[in-house]
Amino acid sequence: MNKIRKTLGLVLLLILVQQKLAACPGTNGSVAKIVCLADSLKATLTTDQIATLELPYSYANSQVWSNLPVTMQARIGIKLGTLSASQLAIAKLIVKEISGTTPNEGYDEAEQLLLADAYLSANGGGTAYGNGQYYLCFNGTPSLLGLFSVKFGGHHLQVENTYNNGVMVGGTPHFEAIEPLTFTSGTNTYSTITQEKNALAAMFTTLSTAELASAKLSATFTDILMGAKNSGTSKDWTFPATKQGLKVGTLTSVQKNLVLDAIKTYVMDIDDDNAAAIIKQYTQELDETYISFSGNSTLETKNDYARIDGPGVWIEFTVQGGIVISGVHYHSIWRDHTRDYGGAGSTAGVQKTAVGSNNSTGIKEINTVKNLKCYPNPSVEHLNVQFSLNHSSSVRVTLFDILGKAVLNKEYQEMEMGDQTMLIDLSNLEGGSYQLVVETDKNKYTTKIIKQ
Amino acid sequence: MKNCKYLFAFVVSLFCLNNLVAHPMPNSLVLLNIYDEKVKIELQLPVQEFELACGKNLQNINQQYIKDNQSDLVNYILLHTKIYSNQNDYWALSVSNIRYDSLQSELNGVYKELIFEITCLPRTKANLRQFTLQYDAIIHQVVTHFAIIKVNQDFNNGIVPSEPAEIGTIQLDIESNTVKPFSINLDEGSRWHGFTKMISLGMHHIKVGIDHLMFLLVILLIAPIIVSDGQWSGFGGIKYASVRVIKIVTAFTIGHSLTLLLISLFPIPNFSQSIEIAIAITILISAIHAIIPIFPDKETVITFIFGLIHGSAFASTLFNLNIGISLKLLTVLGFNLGIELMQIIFILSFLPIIFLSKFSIYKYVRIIGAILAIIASLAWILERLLNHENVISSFLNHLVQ
Repeated sequence: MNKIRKTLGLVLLLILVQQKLAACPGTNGSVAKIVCLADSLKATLTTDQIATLELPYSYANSQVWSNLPVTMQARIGIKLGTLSASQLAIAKLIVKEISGTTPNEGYDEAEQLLLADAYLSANGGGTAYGNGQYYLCFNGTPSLLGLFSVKFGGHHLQVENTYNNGVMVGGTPHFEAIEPLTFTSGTNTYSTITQEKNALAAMFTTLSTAELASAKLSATFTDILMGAKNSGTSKDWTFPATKQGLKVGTLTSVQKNLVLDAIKTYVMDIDDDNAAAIIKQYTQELDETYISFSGNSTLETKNDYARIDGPGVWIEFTVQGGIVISGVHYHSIWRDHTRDYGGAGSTAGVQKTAVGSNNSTGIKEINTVKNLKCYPNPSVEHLNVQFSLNHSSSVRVTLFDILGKAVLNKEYQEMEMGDQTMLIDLSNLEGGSYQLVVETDKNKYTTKIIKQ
Repeated sequence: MKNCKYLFAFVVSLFCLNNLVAHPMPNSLVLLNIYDEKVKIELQLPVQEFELACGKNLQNINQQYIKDNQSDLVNYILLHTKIYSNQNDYWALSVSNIRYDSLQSELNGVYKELIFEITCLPRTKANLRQFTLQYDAIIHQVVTHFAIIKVNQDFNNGIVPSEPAEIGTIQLDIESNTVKPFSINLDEGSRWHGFTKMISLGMHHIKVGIDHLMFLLVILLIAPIIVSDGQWSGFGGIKYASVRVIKIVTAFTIGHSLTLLLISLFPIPNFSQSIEIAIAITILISAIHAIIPIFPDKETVITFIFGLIHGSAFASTLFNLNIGISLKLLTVLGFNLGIELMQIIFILSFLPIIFLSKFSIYKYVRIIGAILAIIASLAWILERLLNHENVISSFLNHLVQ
């Protein structure tokens, strides 16, 4: 009797919640509706939970995502496993709102990926996996005109939608991966991401021998190129300057449609209206898009790889060895040359127009030094200073204390173009805050160092 | 100390509670050893990725295979490893050793690697600490592979193999689709600099050496008190206490200095596990002695002998130092000096407790301290025998962090 009462109560609660939310106005995927749903969710959370869920907007926050299990690479936001049933229901509605409705894509695919993780957990993966190990994050407060991103992800999934000025300005990087290739959950059998693999492989099946030779890359890929940062360097905004492979503009219209079909399996993951706009843009850019592969174009053997590289679209697909379960498994990513993170981190900066519309290309700054990195920071003994010079130049590295006095000064008459690294000894310095200045013939870069 | 990336993968996989292969793809390690007239590079390349790069099947690789294919392997490495001081001064590189190593792990299965030792000599008088490395072994083909560069040893900058300094990564530059040259700029450093670094290494080593400190603590607990009727009794007087403290500390110092010197110069393979267990036993015995005197008036001799054991453990930090005798002696001297300095600081701060022995409460201090030490030593013995942390040893090991 008690059990029935409890279940009835829960059902009633969920119905009430749904009704309340049905009151959220706006078209599907609109910022108005997202904001409304976000507010509904926050209304059910404690202050601490809200502080975990919603963070002040930063590009750095946007960049926190990974392909790895959450126990190996921390995520930001609130963990689904910590939410009550009603809170979880609203959280799922938010993910649904920002995702597409096509079967096996969008929200359906996200749900399948969570089920896959539950499967991994039960079949050798243990507690590092599971559908509770996914995080929802508002990077910035969702508002009608402000800048914010909705992040949803965990192991093998990252949804990264950025909104600004009342519109969606970015729906990428969008990462998806699956292990095992096929699994059962309840009475259903799923082959998630097989749609993407089939569509990509299909691009190559009707190509001539000469065309296949053009499309084939000689390099070997054991992973996607532009994946998560994890413990290495960030791959954001490092798109190849020259496109490799076979130009789609040289193909027949049937073959071009196959490329478009493959692209759609990724773009349809975000809400239908914005997806349609992006697909329209990518269709216009199809002739300038390149397709390529490495290993076998059938994409079934370990180290097989496929890529679509257009003026806008960037898709990678790779076949890797099994981790929890033997066999192979897929990793894949969809990025955009101007719209990753809505543009944050690029020289052009965050876009103000909706995805699929004309993108503003900023003026390329002439930066002599790239990727200035200092670690460890705080430092105890040695400080590693790394940067990349885009032309050979004289370089001066100075360390100033908080009084502005130069406590360390190194001059190099001629440093070569390329990666530079130097190890600076800090052991004789007092503890505290310092300013490290790297000066080239054209620019000056400053960063703060702490000596412990 | 096994290579850091294996340790990293192992530690990382400890988070995955079931039997799993660690996620991160195996990367290469490029270790730089800076000497006075040359640089020696040690490359550690995962066979799995090396196979993909050179297009050969290396499933059954072993030392014989290396012997049979030596020139091919050497040519490959020299093709993909170059050093220059400026565009006109390419250094002379020669591969001095190739070996194969496999690490068995219950989590990773077998991890196989190929290790190359390359001797690098500048053609003209060049600054050995400022050069450019043009390296793309494996990466030229497996474009998703990367190599971590570390300075493994550089005496003048105080870097020893037990604590290498990571200076960067070599990987494909995606934008240009090339592997860019990697420029290295290390401080000049100096012999004096290196020597002072060895001192601070020694100081740090004993500062975090909780087992060494615990031994000292326990053995000194009974320094100021006398034996009466086969039991520990009261304070023996300032002179008695001082003399005993000095004798014990000196005996420990001489003991550990001797083996630190000997074992650093003549390392014994597969020694460390036995020594670690022995150290825990020295704590156990001293702790028992602190409750009931099992070797009264023989503390000096026993401490000297135990000091020999502790010194052998200190020496493990200085293993793998591939340097000449004179430099090694300088290293050992500096390291030992550091240990002594920290030891003095520790003992001075501990003295107040010893003078607590004037009061009757000291009996409880002594016994409780000894019991805690017995528990700790037993936990360590268990941990070091089984090669697996337990609750107590884990707590102790984390105290120093």
